[in-house]
Amino acid sequence: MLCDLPNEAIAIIASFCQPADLCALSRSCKLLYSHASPALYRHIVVKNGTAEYIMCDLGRVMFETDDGERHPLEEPRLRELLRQTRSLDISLHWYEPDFWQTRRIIDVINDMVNLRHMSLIYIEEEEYMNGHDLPLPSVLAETLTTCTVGFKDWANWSIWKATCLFKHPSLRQLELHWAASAVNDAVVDVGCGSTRLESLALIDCLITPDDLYQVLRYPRALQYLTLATDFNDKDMYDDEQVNCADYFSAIRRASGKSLQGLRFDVTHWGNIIVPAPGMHELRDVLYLEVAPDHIEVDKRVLNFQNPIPDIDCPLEQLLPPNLEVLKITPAASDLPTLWSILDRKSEIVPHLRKIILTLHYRNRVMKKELIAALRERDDYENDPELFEPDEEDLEKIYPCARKRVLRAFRGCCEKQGVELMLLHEDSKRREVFEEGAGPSVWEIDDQGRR
Amino acid sequence: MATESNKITLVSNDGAEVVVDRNVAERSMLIKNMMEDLGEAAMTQSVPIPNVNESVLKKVIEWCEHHKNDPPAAADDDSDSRKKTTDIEEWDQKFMQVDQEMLFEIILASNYLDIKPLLDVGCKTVANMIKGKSPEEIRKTFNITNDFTPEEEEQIRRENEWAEDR
Repeated sequence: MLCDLPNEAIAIIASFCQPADLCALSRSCKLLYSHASPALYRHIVVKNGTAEYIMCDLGRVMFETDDGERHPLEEPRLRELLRQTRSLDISLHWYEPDFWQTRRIIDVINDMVNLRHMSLIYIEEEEYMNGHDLPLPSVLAETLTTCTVGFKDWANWSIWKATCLFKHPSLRQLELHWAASAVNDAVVDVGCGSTRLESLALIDCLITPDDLYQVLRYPRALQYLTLATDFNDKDMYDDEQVNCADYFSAIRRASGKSLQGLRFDVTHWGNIIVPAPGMHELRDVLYLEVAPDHIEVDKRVLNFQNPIPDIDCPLEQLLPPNLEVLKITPAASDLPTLWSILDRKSEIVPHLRKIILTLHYRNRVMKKELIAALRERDDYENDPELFEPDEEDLEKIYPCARKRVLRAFRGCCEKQGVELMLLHEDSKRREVFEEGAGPSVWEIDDQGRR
Repeated sequence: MATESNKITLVSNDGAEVVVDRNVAERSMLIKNMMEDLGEAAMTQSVPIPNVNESVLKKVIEWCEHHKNDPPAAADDDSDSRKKTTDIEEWDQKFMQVDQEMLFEIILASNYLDIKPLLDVGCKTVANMIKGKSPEEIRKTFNITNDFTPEEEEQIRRENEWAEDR
């Protein structure tokens, strides 16, 4: 019967069970407990905002909580179970007055000494303008390899709070959301790279070129970097215009020799200057995913009240010279920049072998779904001044190349020996457009193989 | 190669001989490795399967027959990967509509013969039988004796309370 099965088989059964079923299973008999409990603690995923309670429950034996109860006898056993945890994926409420309690709660993570993956996302309870403190566990597992940390929506926490993550010796992938350069936090010179970090994603982070340089100096050989942002709060910034060249220079100085893949979309930073010359300095970048504004030849400032600065931006400075794969969502339905890139391919990007076009919709059905989704967005409900988008508007917000244009473009690609791949975003994955955090070019299945 | 040389004979633990296509039998990694070790000799003599009786062996072969053209499973992802799905394809669901004894025999046999996809289907079937049941119902379903004291059971309930409603 069930209990007579070999251990491997029972462990596989447990791996297919949902948490609630593992709870029941662990209480049915001692043998099944020994399989079900570790399986239960292996992956802890709590996304619906009740993570506080769960973490309190987990930590109950370690810390005195409201009821003051302690169960010291259970402690070694719970510690043993927490040793089983391999992945932790939780979202917690962030509320300034409760900050110290939150800190204490997440210290349960200290006991997850074999943790491989940690995702810790805070959801702000009440709007707080003074800069956020980001509670992190005081001890991080040495085994940690992938980590996502930050806030779900707008926040402003100093990127230097994540220093322990940048210094972590075995971490391979790090993703930060809503971190920013802080005026008061002096940038520490950290010395040369020593960590194993391979992929760094700064999503909705607003950091200075100097801080970016310092952060990039930690990894020994960073391969992939994402700088992507999609927030439209222009009031946040001073009038100072931001020139992307400073960022590319920082990247080249710190990671120029190892960086293969770059995803760059900061068009939503208030006063960023587009296009973004300077990318030609990144000689080792093979994969580039970029917002179309950054490689438009017509220069402008995204905040239109400011004058256009006098920068020189010929097409050959807008792309890494050894580029092989380019992923882009065209900004205009007739793909002007892409045509010119192909025209001058041998001179600008001679090794280009693939263009991936992300298109917002393929047919009427997808178009209708997209309009419906846009109308459902909170902004439209809360702000009556915002228009109700119809089909015509949609084509302006999300231009989508016509079939005829695509056919001609495909022909031109073939002539230049470039493969054209079309990615029609599934309407279910629309968040890709909304948050600017979709799959990077190197995460697309058949990428990276020469 | 002649078609006959692609057949092999398996012998169950109750002495029944089952002739089966080599590519069907090689869904079992145990048999596949054995064939590679023995080479041609394996084609001329019968292969004893000491842990499996006739009815179970035939059932397992029926599964292998139906799945003989499946692509090889992707590299075994380690146990750290995310929660797996318990979806079972329709044919397999029907195939697994057997009494509990046979179900566990199939799991044992696929474990012994090293047929990972069949082992997974069997284990998913058991996981689906556990789904939504209370500890008492699980005991009843699988004829398990409760060897906890009430205090122990309560302690475990508290220990895992955090996951109860998920």
